[in-house]
Amino acid sequence: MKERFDKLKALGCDVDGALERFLGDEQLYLTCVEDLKTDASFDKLGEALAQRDSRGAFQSAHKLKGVYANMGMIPIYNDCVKLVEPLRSGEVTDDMTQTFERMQQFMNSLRQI
Amino acid sequence: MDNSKTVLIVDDAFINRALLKKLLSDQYSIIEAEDGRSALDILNSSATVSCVLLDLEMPVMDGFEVLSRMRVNPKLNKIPVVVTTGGEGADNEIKALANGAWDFIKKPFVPQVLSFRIKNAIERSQFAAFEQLKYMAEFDTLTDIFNRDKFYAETKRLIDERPDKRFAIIRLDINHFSLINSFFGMDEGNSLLKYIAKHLRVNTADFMGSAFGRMEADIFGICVPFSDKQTIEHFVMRSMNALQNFSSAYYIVPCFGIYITGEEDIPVSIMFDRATLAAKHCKGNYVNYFEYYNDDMRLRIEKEQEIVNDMNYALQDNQFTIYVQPKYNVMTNTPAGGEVLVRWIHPKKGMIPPGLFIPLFEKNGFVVKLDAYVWEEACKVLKGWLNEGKKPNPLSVNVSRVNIYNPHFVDNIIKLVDRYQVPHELFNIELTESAYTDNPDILVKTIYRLQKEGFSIMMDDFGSGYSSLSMLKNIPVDILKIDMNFFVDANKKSRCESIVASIVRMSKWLNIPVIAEGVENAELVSFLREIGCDYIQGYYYAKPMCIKDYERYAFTPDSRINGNTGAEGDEVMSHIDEVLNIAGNSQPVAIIECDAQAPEDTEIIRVNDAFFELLNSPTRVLYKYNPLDIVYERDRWKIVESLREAIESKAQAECEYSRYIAFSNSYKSIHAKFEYIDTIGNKCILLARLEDITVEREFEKKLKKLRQSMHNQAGITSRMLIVDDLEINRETLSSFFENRFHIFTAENGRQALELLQDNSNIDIILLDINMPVMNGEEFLKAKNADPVLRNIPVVITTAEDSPRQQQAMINLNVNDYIVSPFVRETIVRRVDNVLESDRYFRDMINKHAANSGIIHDYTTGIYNRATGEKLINSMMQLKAGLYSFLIIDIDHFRRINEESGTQTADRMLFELAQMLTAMFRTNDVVARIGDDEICVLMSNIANDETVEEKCHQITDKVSALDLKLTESELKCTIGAIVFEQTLSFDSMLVQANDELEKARSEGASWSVKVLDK
Repeated sequence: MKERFDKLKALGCDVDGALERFLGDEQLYLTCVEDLKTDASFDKLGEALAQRDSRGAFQSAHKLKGVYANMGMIPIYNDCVKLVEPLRSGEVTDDMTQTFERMQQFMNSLRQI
Repeated sequence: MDNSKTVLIVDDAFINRALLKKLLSDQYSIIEAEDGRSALDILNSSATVSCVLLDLEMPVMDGFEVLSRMRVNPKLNKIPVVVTTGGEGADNEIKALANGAWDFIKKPFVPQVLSFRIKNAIERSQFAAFEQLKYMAEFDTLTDIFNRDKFYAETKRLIDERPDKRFAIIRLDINHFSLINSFFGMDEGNSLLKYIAKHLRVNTADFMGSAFGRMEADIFGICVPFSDKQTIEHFVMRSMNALQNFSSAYYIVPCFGIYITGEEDIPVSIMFDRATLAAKHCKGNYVNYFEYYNDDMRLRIEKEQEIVNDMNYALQDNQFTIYVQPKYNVMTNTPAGGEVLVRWIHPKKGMIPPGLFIPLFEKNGFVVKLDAYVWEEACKVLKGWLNEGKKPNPLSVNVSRVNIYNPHFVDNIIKLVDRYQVPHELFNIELTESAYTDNPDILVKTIYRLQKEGFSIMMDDFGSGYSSLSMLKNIPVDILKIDMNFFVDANKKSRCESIVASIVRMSKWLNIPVIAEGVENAELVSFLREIGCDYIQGYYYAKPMCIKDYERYAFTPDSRINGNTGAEGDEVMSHIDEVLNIAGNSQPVAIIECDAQAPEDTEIIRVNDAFFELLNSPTRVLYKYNPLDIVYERDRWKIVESLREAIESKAQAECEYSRYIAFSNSYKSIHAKFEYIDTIGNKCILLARLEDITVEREFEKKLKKLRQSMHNQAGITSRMLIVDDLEINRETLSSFFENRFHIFTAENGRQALELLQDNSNIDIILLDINMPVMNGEEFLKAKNADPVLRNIPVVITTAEDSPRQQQAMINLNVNDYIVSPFVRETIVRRVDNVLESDRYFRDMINKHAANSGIIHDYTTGIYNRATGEKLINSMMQLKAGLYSFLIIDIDHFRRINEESGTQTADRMLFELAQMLTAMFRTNDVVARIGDDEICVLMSNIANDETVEEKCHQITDKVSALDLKLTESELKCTIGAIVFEQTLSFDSMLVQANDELEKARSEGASWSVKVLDK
């Protein structure tokens, strides 16, 4: 378990902070990590961006943002934040795709832990 | 954890839900929902959620939607909602709060913050809920003021806090409030209640420490400090005014019951009860709309409660007894049964008046038991009488209206009466008219049934209800009872009389007998008789009495009220009534009935009140007896003779006799005049006029003695002049006296006068009043004017015997009168009496003249003082019944003397004296006792009224005296005394003078005083 935590930390996650929030329940935290791997919202976000659906993208991004924050997954959180506000105002910009790709990368790495 | 509160977590992200659950599950039970819709479903279900953690961004239904849905749902809008936000900006948060979120929490969640926020939210909501409950526990939701419990509590607090202060507890309610709801709708009613509440708030604001609340419905309670009645009444007044201003469509009539706290330490609820008691007293009273409680109210309630407590035991213990008030058949004057009344003899409290307990028992239904008891007692009594072989008259029992509703009522009565084997005709039933108004159909059916069974039905208190005429139409009552107290109203007397007379007349047409109840005086009795009322029940004849007394009364054959033997012929009765009416009460009068062939078989059937007085009787009940039995034995034949004569001649007869008076164990001398009225069957009806002549008899006895001594002087032949236009009268009278007198006769006044010119030494004149040419009056005037003839005594003969006649006699100054048809004995005696007293008188004068020579006063021609004194003293020796001594004083005589001169004055005195002398009888002593004073002694007068009359006559005549001699009017003042005892002349003078002074000081023309014996 500690191994996984270390890997997560290597990815840039604030595991300790998250664990505090989880009141030290490592098992629960890991369960949530598993859940995150398969979370539909991420894919939805990608699709929405591809289709330039600002509303749909915003909803997914906003949702994911909160989760990432609770999980202490700082890097992907930050990216998410970059997406959320413009999306909220209805914009779908090109650099969003870039950001999403970064997020995609993160997710891929996460899936291997 | 059972008692733990539940938090609903609403978030579409699994992780968020998991995290929150993790953070809260040790304090709360957790329910999860993925989106808004399922969240609302959970909330609307029966689950009690203490707090909702709500994510704003959710698919299907977002957080804002959930918030707004919760807000409008009264079940959900009190549940605290804490919103979880992404920390993206204040806008969302503000929007969330504005939409009803209680608080918010940012992601990432900080556990402690989360915890606290939720806890606070829950506690706040709990507090609010508590407040709500508390509010509902203490306040009336409609009016927003205290409810009853809170009002009591608050009032108690106020009172306890200030033990030195007094408070007024006021109960306010609106009369007929339910009508306002009915007519104008509940909204209007509620509106009024709210208005009242608002007003109370304003009205009590000025008081230091007050409370008010709504108890229930339209009843409000108010507590304000009490300083004086005026303040309270101002308070009430203000409320009154405010209420009047509420609506112009209808009157609002409030009712204030006020209880002022005192020393007593009682719960507030009791105080309010007392205020309620007080309020009862102004219900329906449109003048007083407030009333103070006083202890009497409570005492009355307590008394009533006591009575109610005692009643059952009292019934078992036979504390109730029956009394009977007799009824009388007014036509036959015999008892006609009685009404059964109930009395309660309480072992400690004594006799409890029915007025106190009957209404109470009617209210609480006990009256049914009581009625049954009374009926049974009545049956027992009737059965007892029947067993003894008596033939009782019916008894009537009262049936309270409550009984009419009892479907077994008729059966019960029949069973009861039959059980005692009492014939149904003896058991009369009295119903009251108010039972008819309640339920006419039932009543009619009940009555029909009872009548079929042979019971007679009486309608009690007829006319006191509202439905008399239709009731009479529908219900076949047998007898009507009218309560005379109801009808007798001094202010509306003639109206009442007309109404009662009409009712009686109407009843006669309907063939329904009428009983008048509550008859308390003789006036009513005669009125009722006049209009043909059949029966009378009342205090005038008999009060309600216990059974023993009633038995004595109803079954003794001799008791009756002023009765006759059932003679038919209303004409005879009304003739008798007329006769009795005319006789009035001035003279004792009796209607007697005797056998035509055998007048000694007589019976007194009717008398007037004066009759009872003559006999000194303490009651007005005639007992059946033969009146001859109490007449002095030796005189009985006289009465029988007189009766026979009256019957045979169908006219009058008179006689005198002695009668035993039981009450004083003595005898009275009675002069009776019998007058024939009518014959019915073999019985004759006569009118007897009686006169108590006991005193006169005594007087006569004395005169007789004198006469005996007088007659020892031989050779005096008396001369009598009989003046009458009827030959038969002259002959009859002559026949009485021819053995003793030399008789002269004349046919009329003129003849008589002529005769007298030639024969002035007539000793006595028997004079008829009604004669042609010159009648008796004119003759007398002429005679009295002549000084020679003046002194001849006169006895007038007349056909009329009445007080009027007696008065006339006095006025004419005759000595006596006799009534035709002439009864020898009576006339002879009268004449003798007159002669004797006259002779005696003249002897006196002669004696005196012989002794002293001068007897007359020179100026006036009447006796001088010395003679007068002697004569008067002599007259006193006679002890002739009632005397009167008068002093007649000429006013301002000295002035007249000065103004007009002595001669004129003397002339005037002479005229005066002559006039006076002519006004008195021959044996009255008229003497001059001073310059301007003349005295008179009258003997054997009837009564003091005679004297009054005389004084009147004198003053009139004096004023009318035609003087031409002096300018000023002549006036006199008279002082007179009336006495029986022997007085000396001096004593008479003194006392009569006193009266004279009295008259003068009062500015009266005369004053008469009757001296005590």
